[in-house]
Amino acid sequence: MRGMGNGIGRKRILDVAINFSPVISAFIGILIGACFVALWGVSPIMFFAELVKGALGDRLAVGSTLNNAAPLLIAGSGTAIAFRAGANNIGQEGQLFLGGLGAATVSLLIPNLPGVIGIPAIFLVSFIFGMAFASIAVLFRLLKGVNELLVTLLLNYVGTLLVAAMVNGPFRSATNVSYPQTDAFGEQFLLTNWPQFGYMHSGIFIAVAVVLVSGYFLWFTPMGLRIRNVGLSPEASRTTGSNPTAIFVVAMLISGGLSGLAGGVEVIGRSELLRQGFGASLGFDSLAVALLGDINPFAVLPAGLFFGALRTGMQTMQRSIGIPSALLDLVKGVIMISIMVGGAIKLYVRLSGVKKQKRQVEDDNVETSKEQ
Amino acid sequence: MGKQKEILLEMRNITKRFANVTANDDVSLTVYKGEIHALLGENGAGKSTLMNILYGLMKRDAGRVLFKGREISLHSPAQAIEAGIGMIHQHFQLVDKFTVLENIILGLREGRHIELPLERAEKKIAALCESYGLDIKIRALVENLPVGEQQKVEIVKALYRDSEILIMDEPTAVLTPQEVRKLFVTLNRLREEGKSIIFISHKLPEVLEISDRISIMRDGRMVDTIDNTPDLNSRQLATHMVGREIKLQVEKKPCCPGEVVLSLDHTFADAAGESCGIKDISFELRRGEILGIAGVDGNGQEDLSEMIMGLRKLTKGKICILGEDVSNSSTKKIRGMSIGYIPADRLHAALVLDFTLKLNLALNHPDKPPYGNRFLMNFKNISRIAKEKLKQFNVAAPDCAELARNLSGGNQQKVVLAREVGEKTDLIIAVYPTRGLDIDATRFVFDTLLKERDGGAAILYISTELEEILTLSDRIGVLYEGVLMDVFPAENAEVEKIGLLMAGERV
Amino acid sequence: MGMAVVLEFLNSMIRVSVPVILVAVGVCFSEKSGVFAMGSEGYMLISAFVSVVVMIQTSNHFVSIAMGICAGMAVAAVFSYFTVVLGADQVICGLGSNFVMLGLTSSLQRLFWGTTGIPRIAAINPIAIPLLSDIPFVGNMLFNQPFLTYITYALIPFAWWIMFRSSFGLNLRAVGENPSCADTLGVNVRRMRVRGVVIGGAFCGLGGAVLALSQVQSFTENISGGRGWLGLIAATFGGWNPLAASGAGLIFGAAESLQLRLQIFSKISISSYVILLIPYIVAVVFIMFVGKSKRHPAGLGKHYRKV
Repeated sequence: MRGMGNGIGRKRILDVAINFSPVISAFIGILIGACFVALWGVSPIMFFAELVKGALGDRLAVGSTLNNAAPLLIAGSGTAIAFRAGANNIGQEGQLFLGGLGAATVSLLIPNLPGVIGIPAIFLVSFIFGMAFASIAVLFRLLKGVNELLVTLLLNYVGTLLVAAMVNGPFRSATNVSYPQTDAFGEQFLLTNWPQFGYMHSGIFIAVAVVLVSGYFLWFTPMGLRIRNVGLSPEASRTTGSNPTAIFVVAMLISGGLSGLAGGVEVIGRSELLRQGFGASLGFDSLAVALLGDINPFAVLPAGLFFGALRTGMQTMQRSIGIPSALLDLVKGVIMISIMVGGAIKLYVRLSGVKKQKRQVEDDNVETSKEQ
Repeated sequence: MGKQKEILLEMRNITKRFANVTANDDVSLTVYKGEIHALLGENGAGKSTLMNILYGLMKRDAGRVLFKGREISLHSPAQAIEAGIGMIHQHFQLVDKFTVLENIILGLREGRHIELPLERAEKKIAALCESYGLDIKIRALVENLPVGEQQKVEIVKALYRDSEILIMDEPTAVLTPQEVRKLFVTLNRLREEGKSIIFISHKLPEVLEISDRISIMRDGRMVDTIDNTPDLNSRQLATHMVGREIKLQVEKKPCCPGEVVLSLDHTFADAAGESCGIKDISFELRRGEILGIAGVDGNGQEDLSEMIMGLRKLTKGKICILGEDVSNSSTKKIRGMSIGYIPADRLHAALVLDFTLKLNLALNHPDKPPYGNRFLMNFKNISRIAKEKLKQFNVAAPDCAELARNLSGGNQQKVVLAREVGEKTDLIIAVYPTRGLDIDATRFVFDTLLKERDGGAAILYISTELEEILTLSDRIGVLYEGVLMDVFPAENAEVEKIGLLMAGERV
Repeated sequence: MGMAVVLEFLNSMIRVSVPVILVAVGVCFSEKSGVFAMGSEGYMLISAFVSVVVMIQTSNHFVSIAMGICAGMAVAAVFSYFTVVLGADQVICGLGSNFVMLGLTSSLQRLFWGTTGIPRIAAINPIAIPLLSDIPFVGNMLFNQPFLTYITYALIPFAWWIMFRSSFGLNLRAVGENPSCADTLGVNVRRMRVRGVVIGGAFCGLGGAVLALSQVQSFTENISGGRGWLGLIAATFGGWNPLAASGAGLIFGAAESLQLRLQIFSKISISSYVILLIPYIVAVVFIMFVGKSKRHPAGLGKHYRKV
C-alpha cells in the first residue's frame, strides 16, 4: 500500500524505463566506466570514441569483436537455459576451461585425425568435458541436497587451475618454453578464418546457430515450456506432470555442455593452441551476457555482441590510450548490479500496481501475502 | 460477575476499505477487563481485518481505538505491544530454531544492556508460569515442541510483555481436542487473573463454552454483541452469523452412478511436514457422482489428493483409476488419463503466475495434440483453444496473452477450471476450489462441477466448508487425522453427525 | 624435515588462516541476518588495496587497517542498500560487486604504480608473548604471531558472544530465521540486516587488510584469490557459528599453508598448480559434508518486503 502515492506520470516513466532496462543497465555500466577514466585524464567522450573505434573501427576490430562474441553467445545461451530452469549454474568459467582442455585432449592425443571428423569430435568432447564438470554439482545436489551455487562457483577455480596444471605438465609444449602452453594443434583442427574479414573465424556461425537452437528449444518446444515452468514454479510443474529434478539435471548438463563447447570453439577458433588462462573471464562475461539478455537466448544475441565489442574495445584501449583492460571487470560488475536493481524496482512497481488493480477480499489473504 | 465491569478497550466506528471491498464498515467493539470476548463470523466477515487493525498490522481508514480510555496510535505491532495488546496468530509467530526463552525475550529492549538478560528473564517467566498455571520447557527449541506447547509459548510471550488483552486468532484450529481442553483451562485462568481475551472463531460450541460475550460479524459489519447466557444456543448464533439459512442454492439433478472410476484400497501415505498423512483409506467413486470430503483443515485433505495424483508416495495399498492400477505411478502418467486436478494452493501449485493464460492452459499436455508434438508446440491451436476456453468459462481477461498474475483470484480459479475440466474428463479432484472466491465465482465453480457430473465425470470434492459439501455432494465422507471416518449418502447427512465425525468421534 | 619444520608449519598455518577466519566470521554475521555474503571477495579486495595505499602514505599500521575496514564497510553498505532495501538479487549483486572491486582495484593499481609494481611495505614482525610462547609445541604456534593474530584471537569469542549472548545478536538471528515474526515484535528487519551485512564487511575488510599488510606485504592483482569464497564455505560448514566457522577457517589455513610448504620443499615433481588446487578441493569436500544442512537460516537469501 506504500506505492499508492506514486503519481501516474512517474509510474509511466518507470514503466518505460523498465522495458529498456537492459539497455539502460549497459549504458550505466559504460557511463561509470567513462567517469572512471577521467582519472587517467581521458575525457568520457574520448573514452566512448575510443571504445567504439576499438570495437568496430576497422575490419580487424569487427573480426575481433565477433570472435570475442562467439564463446560468449554459446555459453550465454547455456546460462539462459540453466537460469530459466532455476538452476544456479555460475560455473561457466570452469566449464569453459574444461571445454578448452577437451579440445586440446582430442587434438594432441589423436593428432592424425582428419578435420572432417576432428572438428566435430572436438566440439563433442569439449561439450562432454563441460557437461562432466557441471555434473559434479548435479551429483552433489542429487546425492547430498547441496545447492549448486557454491559448488559451481568453487569449481571455477578448480577448472582454471586444472588447465594450468595440464599446460604446465603433461600437455606442455616442448618447443616453446616462454609461456605455459601446448604445442600448436594440427591445421585440420582449426576453424576456418578469413583474413579479409579481420580474421573472423567460423565460430560465430556456430554461436549464432546455438543461440537460435537454444531460443527455439526454450520458447517453442514442450520441453522448453516445462523448463521455464520449473524455474517459475516448481510446485505447479509437479502438479502438471513434470519432474523438476529431471529437468534440473537436463538444464544443468546442457548449460555445462554449452559452456564447454564455448571453450572448445575459443581454443580452435582463435588461440589455435591451449595456453594457461586462455579464455580468462569469458565464462564470467557470459554470465553477464545471459543476464543482460534477460536470460532469453534470442536476446542473448545482441547482448553477446555488445559484450564482444566491449571486450575488444577495452583490449584495444589498453594499447592505444593506456586504460587498463581490467576496467572491463568494473563495467561488467556495474552492469550486473544495475540489471538486478532494475529488476527489483520492476517488481516493486508491479506489486504496487497489482495492489491497485486486484479486487480481493483481503481479509483472508493478508496473512498469506504477508508471508511472501 | 457481579462486580462493576471496567471497559478496557473500545474500537469505535472502524472502517477499512480495500480497492473495491469494504472489509470493515463502521465496526465498533467494546471489551471489558477480565472477560473472554468471542468474535464470531465466517471466513471473510472482516474479523481478521479488525484484529489486524487493532494489532497495528493494518491502518484504519476511519475510526478510533481507545485503550484504557486513552486514544492510542497503532502504526505498527510494536506500538500495540507497547500499549498492552498481544496477538497470537493462527500461524504462530515463533522462530523455530530459537529456544523458548529466546523467543520470549526477542525484540525487547530492556534499558541499555547489551547482554541478554537471560537469567532475569528466566526468573520472570517462571513466576509468570506459576501465577497462570502454565508449564513450559524454557530451554527447549521451539521446533521440537508440539503445537499446543508452542501456543503456550505464544501466550507466555504476550504475558511477558505485560499484555492486558490477548487476541487469539482461531486458537483451536490447530489443536487436538485434549489440547483444546488444556487451552480452555489456561484461558479461564487468565480471565481470573484479570486479563481480557478476544477469541476469534467460527466454531459455535467452543464459543458458547468459553466466552462471556459474543460479537458477531457478517460481511464487514458488526451484527450484534450478545451476552453468553445459558439459554443461548448454536442455532441462534448460526442464524446471526450466516444471516440467511443457506447462501447457495444449486439445481441438482438426481444422481445416477455408473461404473467405478476411482478406487482406493487400504491406502497409506506418510506424514510430511505439517500434514498428517493418510491412514487406511478405502473408497470407490463412480461416474456421475460427487463424493464430498469434509473435515477440518489439515486433516489429510492435501495428502489424499496428492497421493491419488502421484505427488505423494503411496506406502501401502492400491489406487485404481478406470480399472488400471496407478499406485505410485508418475504424475505424468496419471495426467495422461483424462483427469482434472484442482490443487489446494492454486497460486503456487496450479498456475504459473508469470506465464500467459494460453501457456497456463496448455501446461498439462504441451507435447500432445492439439497443443503440439514432442518437438514443437502448436501456438495456433494453443491460442485458439485458449480463446475458446476463456470464453466458455467467462474469464474476465483482455486476451489469452495476459499474464495469469494480473487476474483476480476468481478469474485465476476459472482459468484452472478451464484447464482441468475444459476437456472431457473422467475424474476430477478438486481441493478447496472455492477458497477465497466471492459468491458468484463460487456458484460458477459449482455449476461447472455439476455439469461435469451430469456429463459422466466422477468428482472428488474436498472442502473445509461444510455448507458447500452439503450443497454439492451425492455422498459425503469425513476426514479426521488422515482417517476416513465414514462415508454415507448425502440424503442421510445430519450436520450434528458430520460435526462429531469431524471432531474425531465415531457415531 | 625435522621438528623445526613442523613447528614452522604450524605457526604459518595460524598466520595464513587469519584472513580466512576473519572472513568466515564476517560471513556469519551477514548470513545469520539472512543476506548471502557473496560480496566477501570484493570487500577483501577493496580493503587490501586501501590499506596498502594508506600504509604507503602513512606507514602507520593502525590507520591503514582502520581505513581498510572502513572501505569494506562502505562497500558492504552499498551492497546492503541494493539487496536489503531495494531487494535486488543477493547472489548476482554479490558477484557483480566482486567484479566491480576487482576492476576498480586492478585499474587503480595500474594507475598508481604503472607496471613497475608496488613498493613492498614493511613486514609486521611477530611478537612473542613472554611465558606463553615458551610453552612447548603450542607456544610457538599460537603465541609467536603478528599482533593481528592476537586481535583475531580476541575477536572470535567476542563475535560469538555478540551473536549468541547479546540482544543485538538475538535480533540479528531472528531477522535471518523468521523476518515477519521479528517484524511484528518490533525489530526493524531492514536495519538489522543492513547492520549484519556491514559488520560482515568490517570483518572481511579486516581480513583483507591482514592479508595485504601482514602476509603479502604488498598489493597484487586479485590478491584475495578466492579467500573470500573459502571464508564463505568455512562459515557454511561451521553452521554460521563464529567458533565453528573459525575452526573450519583454520583447516583452510592448514591447506593453504601445506600448499605453500609443498611448493618450497617438494622433492617430488608435482605441478605447482595441482598443489594450488588443495584448498579448493578441501572446500568442495567441505560442501559435500555440509549436505542438506538443517541449520541454514530459514530466511537466507529471501528479500523481506513489508505489506
